Amino acid sequence: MSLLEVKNLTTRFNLLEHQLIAVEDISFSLEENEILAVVGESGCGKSVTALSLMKLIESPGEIDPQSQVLFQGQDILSLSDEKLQKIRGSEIAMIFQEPAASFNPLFPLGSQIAEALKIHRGTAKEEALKTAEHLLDQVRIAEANRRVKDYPFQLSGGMLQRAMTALAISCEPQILLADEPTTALDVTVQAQIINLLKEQVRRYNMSMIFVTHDLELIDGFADNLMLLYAGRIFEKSSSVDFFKKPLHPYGEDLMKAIPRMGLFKDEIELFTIKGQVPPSHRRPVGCTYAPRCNKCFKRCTQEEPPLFNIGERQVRCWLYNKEDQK
Amino acid sequence: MNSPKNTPLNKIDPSNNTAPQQGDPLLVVKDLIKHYPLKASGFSFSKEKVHALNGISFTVNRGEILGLVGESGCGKTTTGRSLLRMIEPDSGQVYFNRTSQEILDFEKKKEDFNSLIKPSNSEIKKFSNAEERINFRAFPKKEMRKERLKLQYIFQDPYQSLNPKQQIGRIITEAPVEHGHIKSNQWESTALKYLDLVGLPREALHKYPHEFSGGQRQRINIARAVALQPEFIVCDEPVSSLDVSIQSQILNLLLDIQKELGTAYLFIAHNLSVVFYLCDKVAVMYAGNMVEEAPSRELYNNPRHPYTELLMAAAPKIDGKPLENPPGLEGEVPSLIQLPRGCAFQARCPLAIDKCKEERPQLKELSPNHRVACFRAHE
Ligand SMILES: Nc1ncnc2c1ncn2[C@@H]1O[C@H](COP(=O)(O)OP(=O)(O)OP(=O)(O)O)[C@@H](O)[C@H]1O
Ligand SMILES: Nc1ncnc2c1ncn2[C@@H]1O[C@H](COP(=O)(O)OP(=O)(O)OP(=O)(O)O)[C@@H](O)[C@H]1O
Ligand SMILES: [Mg+2]
Ligand SMILES: [Mg+2]
Repeated sequence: MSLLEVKNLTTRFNLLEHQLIAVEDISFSLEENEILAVVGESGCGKSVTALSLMKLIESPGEIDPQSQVLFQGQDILSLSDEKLQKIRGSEIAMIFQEPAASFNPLFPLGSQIAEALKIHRGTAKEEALKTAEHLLDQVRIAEANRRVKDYPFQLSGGMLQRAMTALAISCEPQILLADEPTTALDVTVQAQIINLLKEQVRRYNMSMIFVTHDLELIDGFADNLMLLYAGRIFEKSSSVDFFKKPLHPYGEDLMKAIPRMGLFKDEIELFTIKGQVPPSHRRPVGCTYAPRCNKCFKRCTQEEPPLFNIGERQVRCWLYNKEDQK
Repeated sequence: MNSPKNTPLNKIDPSNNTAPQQGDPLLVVKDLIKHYPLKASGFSFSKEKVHALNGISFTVNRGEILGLVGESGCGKTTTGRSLLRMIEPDSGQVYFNRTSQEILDFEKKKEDFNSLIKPSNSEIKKFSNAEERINFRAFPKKEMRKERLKLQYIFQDPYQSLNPKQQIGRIITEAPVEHGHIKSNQWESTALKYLDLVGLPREALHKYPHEFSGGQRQRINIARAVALQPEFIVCDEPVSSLDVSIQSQILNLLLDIQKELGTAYLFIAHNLSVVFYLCDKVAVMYAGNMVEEAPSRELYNNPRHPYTELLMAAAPKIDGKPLENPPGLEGEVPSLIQLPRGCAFQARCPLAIDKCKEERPQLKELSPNHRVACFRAHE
């Protein structure tokens, strides 16, 4: 049994003008000690996926009743609020993309982390504050002993992001959902945080779902990778396989569009992906990437491809249709 | 592409031999200093200052792209804004569109003036009169505003820098109309020209910012800046908030504009791969100082400041390997309020020697065009 098993996750937002399907029919599993990267362009559904796993979707959003999120075999989506509260923060913790979602502006950082430790682990107050200070120090916040008393508004965006990481790992969760935990950071601080997260995974046997739009960050860090586009899984591969050669043309295009260190404008023109992601209420018939794809053929514009299994990997693209190849 | 031509050099009267020529630099910055006063908390007055810029010097030639990289808070935005006097720097010279001779002459004047032990009032007056005519940083407000039209700024955040209540066509042409570059009845044709230049459809003319994606809004920002036909644009992290697929579209657009119009840029970013790719030369800042500057390729192949090496090593790359743990990674960025006496990077530096703790290394030429502020590099 996998630690976490997600089956047919679909999350919609019922907006006044139209219905928006933010993630559609997403299935995957997460093993113990695994780092799974969820990647894709802005708006493709990365955050909604992560939030849905913790049942943190609010009206007008709804998770389709057919969806299942099995954590150690029990379906999180059908748990009572009370039971959910127990799991959130202690067994599954989240680093939110939006710092405001984690911290209450009215209380100092340290006491908020200490409070979490008290609730989830029963740590005594004095000790909890000490641990909070240690955690802030671990995420490279200078003068942690002074900073524990700071209120959220007194920290820069990057510092808040790091404090959130401290809060999330404070209870040594089994699963960490990290939603763009390093986007506001410098490369050097980013490298420090990545090292810290790796260390946590190793030391506490933690598993992690790491959400990012930065492919470069994933290489050599995540075990597996799930590429989303317009709410759908486009490819699922081990990250070694993916970075060797992505299966989906979209993955290939993304890789080509990344300017590599040591390329210069007089040598090569940057590859661009034409057009942009279609808005969710005006997705084209067929494959949603077809209008931008340079490998598009007739069927792509007529019918949406299913996920094809290619060995251990999965890809949603008609190029891999086995019937055609027969 | 039917695009407007920037003709700053053709407009110059050839009989006037003091006018800037093709070989003269576009922008020369010398010893720029900016110390922000620290907000006094409660009743205590604080003389403490944030040492954001501690004597920054560089040159941008016509049509050239200079990249500016460095850690968050090291002073990149302060540099960019100081050039345009969106932030008033405390001191320093910003020569814009001056001949090398004029600059030399004034620097000499300045040196002479500074060597006066007790300058008389008339000497002071004479010097500041001369300075007001040549140093953009010292221009009187009115002249400054006029000159500043040739310098533009593109902000990092494509969401917050556009007026949500204004139509795109108006956003692009507001300043050119206001400053009399175009007649008010020409706004539509002008806007269309620039929409075309940045690759947006004609229909964008009467739409509002919220109807566009992040990448498209950054195009609108670029169109607005370029519509004033500036000779120099500060691009402050213009692609940092964009996805890679859109990022390369915007970078290619900036290069097209540079080729087409001969615009020079100061390109601020933290993504080294992007900076190496786009820029002709790159300057690296650390804690309010410039620590290294070289042509892109030279800096990439031969980084000499240990901080530049750290930045390059810490940047994530697609090479199948885990992130490195380069020396200096774990160290702390020094406080800009109390800068250490010696080299600001010394506490993190794997190569530091005693001298580095005592003395601040100056930016010195290592080879032509390659400048480094590091004692060890110059050994
Ligand atoms: N609370 C909400 N109400 C309405 N629509 C929403 C809400 N949250 C997300 N969406 C929509 O769902 C889709 C997926 O959003 P999501 O936040 O998951 O994207 P993302 O991949 O995390 O993007 P980013 O990289 O920008 O964070 C988007 O179209 C978004 O506009
Ligand atoms: N108005 C201000 N008052 C006081 N300090 C300021 C002010 N603006 C900036 N600073 C400080 O000056 C230093 C340089 O800031 P600046 O914005 O130039 O950095 P930056 O290199 O652009 O950083 P980033 O990469 O995060 O944009 C920082 O320590 C910052 O906190
Ligand atoms: Mg998100
Ligand atoms: Mg900045």
